[in-house]
Amino acid sequence: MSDDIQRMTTELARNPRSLIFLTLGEVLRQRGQLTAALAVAEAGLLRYPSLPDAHDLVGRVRSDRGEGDEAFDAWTVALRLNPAHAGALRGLAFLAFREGDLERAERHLRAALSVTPDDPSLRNALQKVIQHGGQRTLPDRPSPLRDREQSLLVDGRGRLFGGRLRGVDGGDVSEVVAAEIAGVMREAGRVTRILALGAWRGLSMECGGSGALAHFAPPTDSTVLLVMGEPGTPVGRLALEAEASAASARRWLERYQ
Amino acid sequence: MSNRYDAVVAAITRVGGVRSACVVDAIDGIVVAESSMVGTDPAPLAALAASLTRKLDGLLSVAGHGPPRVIHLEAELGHLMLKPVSPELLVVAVTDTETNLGLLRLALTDAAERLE
Repeated sequence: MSDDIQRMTTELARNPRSLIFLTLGEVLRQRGQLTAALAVAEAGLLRYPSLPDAHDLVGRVRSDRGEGDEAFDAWTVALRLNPAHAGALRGLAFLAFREGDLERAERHLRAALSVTPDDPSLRNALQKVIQHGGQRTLPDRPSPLRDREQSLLVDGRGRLFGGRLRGVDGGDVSEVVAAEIAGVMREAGRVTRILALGAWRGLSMECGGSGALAHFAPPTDSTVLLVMGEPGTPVGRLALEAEASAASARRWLERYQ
Repeated sequence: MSNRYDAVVAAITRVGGVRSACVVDAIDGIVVAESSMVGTDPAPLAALAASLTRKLDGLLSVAGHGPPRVIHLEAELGHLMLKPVSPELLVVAVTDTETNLGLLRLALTDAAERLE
């Protein structure tokens, strides 16, 4: 163990609330000690869940571990906490570049450069992206929910972004249900706010008559996803499926909004 | 009559992590019986539970389903679970994040059966 790492580890052990975890995690990441880096980053995040830099560190470590989805989530949270976080913008640009989505990578890098205009590494990265511009492509993602039947993605004003829902009689009820979902979303937010429960993460219910299950999940603050399950579907399984669909929808929204 | 409601509420609060349990008049959104930890006001809980149930009932009805049987709202700092007994009555519980949701669901279902 290098002296620096030893010193920072000792300091963190002496004072677990120290922000030195940010530096220690980054040094470990740069040395390729990704398991240790992740442990340090996530322990820091537990103490500072509202600190954008902590989410950024988790994003960098996750990205190095090849965990693109988790890195995306971490950087997205960092940006929610600080929309001008250059590190998170750079990270999202990197993920977009890796996926071949040069347009999105360029957009994130330009946003990062507007925050730190003198950063030469950002300028180099932007240059690289622009040079690849002739090969610009957007991956084929016509719908945020293409792999999931009986699901809808809707915003807070009842606008339908994707998916399709059939009613009990087999008819298409997507638009009317989307309009109702907007009201449910507002009500769920009101309930958790007034009862001091924090942000709502999911809402599930068993439907009378049909016995079908419904699960709502919020991919972002302004959208909600409804996933329906056949009668007899375990509640926990539907929740997991909904979470996976919500993660997919979140990436889709980030890409196209 | 109130003893029956009180017994039902008391049974729900025996599930670990329950902060507040209520029997609610679903039409008016008022408390029929409750047991809550100090500092937890059951009145807004009753009103919000009734309102949320109506919203979800409306959503399900446009898709041709019947009214909701069990509703579970998960939030950062806890859970809200509702079990309609009839169009006029709900049993409701608010819990912390650690509660056993399976046990809570069983307790609410049992409570609803005792009130039917």
